[in-house]
Amino acid sequence: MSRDRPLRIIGTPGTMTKEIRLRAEADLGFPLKLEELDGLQLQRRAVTDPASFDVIDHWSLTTELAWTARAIQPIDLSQIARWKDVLTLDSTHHLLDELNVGKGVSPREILFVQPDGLLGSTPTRMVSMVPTLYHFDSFGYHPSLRDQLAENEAESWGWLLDDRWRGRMALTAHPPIGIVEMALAAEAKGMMRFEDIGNLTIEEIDALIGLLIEFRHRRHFRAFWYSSVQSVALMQTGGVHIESMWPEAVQALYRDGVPVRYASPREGARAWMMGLCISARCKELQLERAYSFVNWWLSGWSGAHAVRHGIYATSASSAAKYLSDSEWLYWYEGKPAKSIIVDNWGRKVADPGDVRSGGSHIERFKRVAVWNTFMNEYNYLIRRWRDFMTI
Amino acid sequence: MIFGMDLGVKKYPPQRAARTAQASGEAALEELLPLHKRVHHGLTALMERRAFPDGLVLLEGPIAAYFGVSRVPVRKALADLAERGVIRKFRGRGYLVDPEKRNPAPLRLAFQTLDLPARPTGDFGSQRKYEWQRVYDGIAEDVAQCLLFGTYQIREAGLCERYGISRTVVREVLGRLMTRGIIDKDRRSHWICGPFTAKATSEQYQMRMILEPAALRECAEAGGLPDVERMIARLDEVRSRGSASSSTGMSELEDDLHGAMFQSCVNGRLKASILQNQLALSVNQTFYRHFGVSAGEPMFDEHRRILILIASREIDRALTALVGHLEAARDRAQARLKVLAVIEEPDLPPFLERTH
Repeated sequence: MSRDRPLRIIGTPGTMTKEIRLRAEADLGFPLKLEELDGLQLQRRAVTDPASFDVIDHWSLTTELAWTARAIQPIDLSQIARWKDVLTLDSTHHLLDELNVGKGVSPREILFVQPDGLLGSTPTRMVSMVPTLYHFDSFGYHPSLRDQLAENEAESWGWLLDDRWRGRMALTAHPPIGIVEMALAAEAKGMMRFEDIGNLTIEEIDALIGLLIEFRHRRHFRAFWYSSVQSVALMQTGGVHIESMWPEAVQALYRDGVPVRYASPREGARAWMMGLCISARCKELQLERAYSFVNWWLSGWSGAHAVRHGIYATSASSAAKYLSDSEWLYWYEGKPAKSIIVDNWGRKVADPGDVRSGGSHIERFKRVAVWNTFMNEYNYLIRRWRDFMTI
Repeated sequence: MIFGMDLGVKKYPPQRAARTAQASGEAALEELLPLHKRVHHGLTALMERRAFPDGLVLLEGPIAAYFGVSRVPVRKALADLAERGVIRKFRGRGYLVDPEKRNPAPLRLAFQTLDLPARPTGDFGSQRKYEWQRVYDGIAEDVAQCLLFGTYQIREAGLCERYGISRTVVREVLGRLMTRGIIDKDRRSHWICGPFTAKATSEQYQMRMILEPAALRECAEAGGLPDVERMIARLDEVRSRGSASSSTGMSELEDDLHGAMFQSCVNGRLKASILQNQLALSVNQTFYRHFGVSAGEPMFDEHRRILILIASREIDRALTALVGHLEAARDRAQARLKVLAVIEEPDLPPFLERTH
């Protein structure tokens, strides 16, 4: 095999960037080919076409599917030098041991390869995925919305189905995320109760979709978005005041002078985790390089790069080496910024004294409501979701 | 074939075909061949007279309808032709006609629009079967492949057209599919199927864990167990093909342990209930079709262990192993169902219409 053949990596736009490619190529000394896909394309490639990539950078929920489809291979932890640092925030917080917070399929449940070949949470020397990034997502709202809030009104997922903002609300069109946000909202408003919000039953899915269709008839939803860029535009000029939102959109809006607030809902966050998996077809030189790339990811630079996008790196101690004290206090500890905080391109994202919404990492982590999950009835859910989207 | 086992003609077709052919006196040597060989010969003859343009995409369904056979022999015939290199797989459904290796662009023409000779006389299979039996497997398989992907309405007229059969025959087939729990009727008496859910999977496996051990015990006590050694040999043969094992091969193994095993069960209701609860097997079939069969497929070991225990008449241990297998198979089916949710919906046969 040619030594010039690049290591092929597929992922979503957030990490398939030129900056990451150039830095990794310089550090590793071999070429990389990064291919950017949207969420649905990535899921399909992850399960149906393992020959088309060497490494996949994707969510823990897709890892479960790719494993079932035998599209990825076990990763040998003896070859992952910094494994002991992964999800170790500091000497007292070993998050890997505490990942059972929240409902849904926690990333730990699909992490370790068990002797019977299935995935489980009991530690072994083989993993399905090396976790790299994670976050506790919620929704964003426009500062003007505060005028309509009651005094001391706590932020709640219920706001997403609140009549006060009828016609000014936007929702993500991604079914596994959108359905959970709507379930959290319906439960917070007391409209429905779910036995397990991380694993809805057929009857619950039907009832929830029925409720959402009613809201649609009442013109509650102004729009549905497929990409983070669309969510930014909706808040800037689309007349949306409250919507599903991912952290990078909060930053983009701040830079454009819309100081949107990222809620810290009392019910807790919708958490997600991403990581790197190696294709079942990857072997020989490419396999060695795949391991080198995974190890490179944990070495700190890329982690710090992601932290400045407003998300968390699993290799926090390595990332910290590339972050200033002020950045660490602001991003991880939820403390007021000591100085101006900038993103990876030197653009301001916070003024001195600003506090990032959502509080410290530890506070957020304790209040995970649910992990992004493919529920058991996902196959049914996406068909019903389509009914809701297309009425 | 999962859905074919109640027809009672499936298990050892070559011998039966031979007997029928001789008895009919038609004597054509061709009649003695297995169906897939006859389809193979039929297709080769059509290709030799250049009836198929280069690049034509060959699909199982229309070929099955043309020859009047189910899709199973067509699939085998196409795989054999591909091995010979006259047609080949491409990035799409079906096979591409490309005998000269010119790499033509895929040409998707309706089979009926081709200038083909009238349908082969005698309809390869129909002399041995009732009309509905001839098309049952093909229709059942078309339905099973789709019902994981949504809810569909089945149009009788579309079926008549696709298979060249009358409404009476269509209703006969659909009625039998409904008895098997594969399709249903809605309040307005439309035939509907799907979607297949994790809940249905779980409920069906729960039923199977009750029914199949009961049937196995009954058959064992009545001395009515089939030739298990032969089943073990077939399992070893399918497994030895490794990743080349087809979904059809896997389906035969399922038929052995979960169908033919109970063939002599005296309690007809028990036998019928078992058949009504095996739709979840289509999850595995669809999964194998998309992802192939892994050499480490756990089903091989689980089936083999049960069959060996039955062969040595250790029935209590066989019953425990059967329940253990069904539990593990349920979990696998549920995990596989989730994977199927993200793959693209297959091309729908024209008699199915998505309702949601």
